Amino acid sequence: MTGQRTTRGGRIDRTRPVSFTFDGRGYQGFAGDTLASALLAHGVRLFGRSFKYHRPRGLLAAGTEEPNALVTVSRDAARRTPNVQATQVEIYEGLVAESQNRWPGLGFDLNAVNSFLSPLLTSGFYYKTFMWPRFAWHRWYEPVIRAAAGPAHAPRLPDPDRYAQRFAHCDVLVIGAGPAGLAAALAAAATGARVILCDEQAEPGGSLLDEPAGTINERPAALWIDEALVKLGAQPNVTLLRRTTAFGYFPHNMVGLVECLTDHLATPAAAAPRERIWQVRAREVVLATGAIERPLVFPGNDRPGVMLASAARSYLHRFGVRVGSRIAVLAGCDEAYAAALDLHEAGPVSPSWPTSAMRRWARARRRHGLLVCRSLNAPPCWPRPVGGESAA
Amino acid sequence: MLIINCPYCGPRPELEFSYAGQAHVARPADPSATGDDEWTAYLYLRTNTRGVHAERWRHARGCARFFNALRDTTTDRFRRDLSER
Repeated sequence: MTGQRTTRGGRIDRTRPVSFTFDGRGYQGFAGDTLASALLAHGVRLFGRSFKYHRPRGLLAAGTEEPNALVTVSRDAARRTPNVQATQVEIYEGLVAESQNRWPGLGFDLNAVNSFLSPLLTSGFYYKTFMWPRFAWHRWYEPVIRAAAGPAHAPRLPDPDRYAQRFAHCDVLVIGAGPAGLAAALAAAATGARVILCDEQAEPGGSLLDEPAGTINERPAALWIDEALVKLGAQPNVTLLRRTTAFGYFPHNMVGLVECLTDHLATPAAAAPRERIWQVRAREVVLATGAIERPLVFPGNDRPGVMLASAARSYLHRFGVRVGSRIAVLAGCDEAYAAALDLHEAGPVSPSWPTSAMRRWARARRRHGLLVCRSLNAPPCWPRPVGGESAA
Repeated sequence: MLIINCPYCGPRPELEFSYAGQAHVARPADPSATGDDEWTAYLYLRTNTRGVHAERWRHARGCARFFNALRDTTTDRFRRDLSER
């Protein structure tokens, strides 16, 4: 799976290139890219190493559900944030990101030897097994084990940033600004209720951003989002919070939100707080959090090159990145067919292994000339993604 | 954070209150005549209710007065109309 930038499409601003570094190497993305999408566009496959056996890991998802691509982002020695998801980092000019949990490098990781020692390092393996000879624990074993433990390193200097907090009251708190959340906020705002609408993404729209061909009331979804935002922006009783994650739902409709204010800026103002905690007391709470795709379970599904179909669509439509040149789609639900067609339209043939065939899909496939390997059960031998290139 | 209904001031956030223990624990009328067991029970023994619990609250950062309230210990919901002065 080697990603590449499409010639057109996506919600990125192709007129504004942005330079950043990953593991010391310079890359260029566009305004609107995440670290994940910008690296993917450069053909980067390897984003991290697994915690214990240091197996190579690539991108699985495009949003907050990403489990693999954890990176450290730093502005200076004191402002180093470990364990952030590359899919959630908006790139800015001069961004410095590093991979984690590898030594000496991401491509060649000596700790991957654990993978070969896995029969010895079973779950529940007790590291104090290294007791003999007696003096060796302090001198040999412990320093090595400690150096290998933990995925990343926290900064040693005190945090120089400021953090703000705020209490707020509202009639309706809508969590998630996807189609359902925007519709809920519009409906509530029309009654004159005080509304707070929050979304963890930089851009409201949620899953609609991955569906450029989608329509609402027979009009393009993107247009509907823009209209909804204009309408909400014109209402004095509506507060729209971007980059704001709801993290806790406490008794009597108290909800905790954290708003990221400066992490996406190249040069934040010195006095600007980095994050703001909102403690919102709402009369009613609408959870419009959307859904995330569940990955299929098969041997080797953690290898770089295996990705959720929804993520592949997201990279294509939102960031203008085609995740691979030769893509196999494993269909578990309807969405896979849409993903296969979209990816096919953006590039050459996508051989696919659907577990169920739909008539609509069959028509579309004939029209587009896709190769389909039909099998009602799991194939006897799973396609191995290690050497080949695939997305599931 | 709970919302607690002070019978004097109305509903306020939990931050303004301090908890004052189980309600209706009566002090023996004549402590000197009270046996050790009864005195121990008065000092230390409390119910550990699952369900509706009668308890005292003090609106410490407000009107500073004590009141009784009924709270369901499994849901943290107050019987709002039953807060009494």
